[in-house]
Amino acid sequence: MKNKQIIQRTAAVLLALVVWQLTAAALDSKVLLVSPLSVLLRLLTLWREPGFIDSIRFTMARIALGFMLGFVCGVALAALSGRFPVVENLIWPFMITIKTVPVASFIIIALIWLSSRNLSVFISFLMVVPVIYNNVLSGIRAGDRRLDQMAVVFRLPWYRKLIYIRLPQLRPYFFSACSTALGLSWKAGVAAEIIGIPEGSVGEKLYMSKIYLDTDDLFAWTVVIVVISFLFEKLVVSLFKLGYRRLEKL
Amino acid sequence: MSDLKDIKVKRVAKSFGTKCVLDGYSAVFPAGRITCLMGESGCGKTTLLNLILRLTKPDGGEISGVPDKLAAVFQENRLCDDFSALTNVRIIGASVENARETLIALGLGDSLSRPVRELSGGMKRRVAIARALCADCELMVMDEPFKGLDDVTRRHCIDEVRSRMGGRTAIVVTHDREDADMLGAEIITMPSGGCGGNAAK
Repeated sequence: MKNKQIIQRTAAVLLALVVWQLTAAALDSKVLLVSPLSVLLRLLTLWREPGFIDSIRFTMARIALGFMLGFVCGVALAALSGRFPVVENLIWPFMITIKTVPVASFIIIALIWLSSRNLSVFISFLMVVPVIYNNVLSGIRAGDRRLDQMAVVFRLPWYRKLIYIRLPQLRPYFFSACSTALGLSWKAGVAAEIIGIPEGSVGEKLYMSKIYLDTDDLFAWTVVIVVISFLFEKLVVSLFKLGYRRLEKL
Repeated sequence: MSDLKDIKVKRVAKSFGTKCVLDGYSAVFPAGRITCLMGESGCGKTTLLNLILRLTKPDGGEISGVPDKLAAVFQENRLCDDFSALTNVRIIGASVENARETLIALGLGDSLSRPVRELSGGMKRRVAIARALCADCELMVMDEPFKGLDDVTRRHCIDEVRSRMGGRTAIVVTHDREDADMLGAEIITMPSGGCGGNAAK
């Protein structure tokens, strides 16, 4: 079943590439749409250009920082809301605002408060908090009340309750939240850089390719962002899995 | 254990919505002894245990003599499925040696490191019993602890429970009089549940 799925998905990707190649050939305009082959050739030269790694490092460090801060804040707020329902009501307006206001509005408002260099940290943080908060709170609410009673009867200290009861219960919620939040943090973080244009960022590179109608560059940088975002997600999820494996061996 | 008191249940009442489970029920569970609580299904045995464990509050009456240090074998095992049998016993603060020795005594020597989710129903039950036996407690409450065990294992577990009581008070719910006899326990039979059914005697 799994092999069949892999074959089908690989075939779907190849088909999409063929459609893309044929469309690009039909349009015959490097500004409107470049071919996948051109993007591949551009990628082969792009990574050797000066500043390539620095740009990725710049953007990745800020988005990773925003994600981590958002994760910690989301988990802490969910824990507080799970324990004290009044906290949930108090932060409800903030969560609704973050979820409903367009990210572009936040970026422009934040540009007034912050330097463009740190804008992506804040925007990533903002996008991550509600996702982590909602998932973790759902996990806390779905917890097995019978295990909580067991903990009460045996007078388990809070840290044992956390390690042996709460964290295992939250496992699927953490994975789901991280997967969604990581994708969002990259999308919003890069969008913030495109608007703020901090020097030496991936967002700046994308902005420049738009200004100069350099569609090769635009597509190549987009591919780079997708690949790095994917690898970053895999890294974080692997670290979580490793953490949980260690936990189970305690 | 020297200051153990009898557990006195006086005219305890408990309802869940419109369903009356206990109606002025009274009983005394002697300190340092094993008492088996018997009665028809639905007569309120588990409810009474939950009241004694302070997991729910009575609507009326009072329960006295319940010590602070408690242990329980719940009707369901209530184990941490991702963790090993040994860890599940150590969770409550038992030493590795004590946990290991108790699990081995209950016939789980080959499964100490296996995650509980991989164990059979009977094995999980024994892990739950081991956890309660290893707890630093003065009162042990066991809700049908030997349910689901085959005859040989059941007898062996009863022997282990009896020999490891060490002067603690125990209340054991069972439907099997033979269990009570093997445990050397006093028997309290609860009358049928429902309002008016188990009034004070």
